[in-house]
Amino acid sequence: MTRVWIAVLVVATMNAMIKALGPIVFGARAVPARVSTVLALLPVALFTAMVVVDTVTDGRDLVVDARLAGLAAAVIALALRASTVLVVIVAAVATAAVRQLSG
Amino acid sequence: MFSTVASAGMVNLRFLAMGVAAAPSFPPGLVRRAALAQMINDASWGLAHQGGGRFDIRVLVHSTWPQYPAWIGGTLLGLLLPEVDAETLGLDAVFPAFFLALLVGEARGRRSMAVCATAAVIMVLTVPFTPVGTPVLLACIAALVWSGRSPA
Repeated sequence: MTRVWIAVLVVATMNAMIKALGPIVFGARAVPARVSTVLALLPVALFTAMVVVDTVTDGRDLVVDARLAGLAAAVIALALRASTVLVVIVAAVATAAVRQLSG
Repeated sequence: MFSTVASAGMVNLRFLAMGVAAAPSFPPGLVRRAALAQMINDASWGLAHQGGGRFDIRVLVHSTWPQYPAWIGGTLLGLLLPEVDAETLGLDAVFPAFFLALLVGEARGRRSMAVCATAAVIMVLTVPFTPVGTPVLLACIAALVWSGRSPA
């Protein structure tokens, strides 16, 4: 049990440092224009990365499963200008439905 | 035990990139910045994004607190109702759809589209060959690559 709690503490400390590092190093004072351009483009890169990781990967494997159908449904909902909340619900329902039908 | 700790750290590496992206929006003061940075998680960071790389730190903070009881409540629910399966409900599609909605709002203009496409290619190429968690960091190279181009 003690070992588990030590691991929890280590992970928590590590996580806190990982989160704090960016705001401590960058932006405390004015950053060069090129750096601020990179920072401004980071959200697009990260949104994309998160979509890919959460949709078509399982650990280190690339997989195609019901989540992709859910994402396709989300694309349609977005094209119809649905709100983010609705988009998320549509994706979950579509994923659940495809899983139900295929499993 | 070491490998568990290491892989947890790797998965959390995305918070490094999220922190860097939001860094210019944090208020001054080293301790304050470090403390506020603890409010970063996938949902709060996404919700706090105001477009064009600007973040509303108040949204970051206020969208994090409600998640705590929700997180504990969800864990409790899973414990009490083991027959309810998150995957059966399609809940694993919630986060990708959320980030997709954010992406669609942000990927406007040729440069943003190029960053998006490059990041996607980097992800697909690196996921099978690098430790879990690192591809998200590598995808940030896409922002670096296109930063020299004009936005249009």
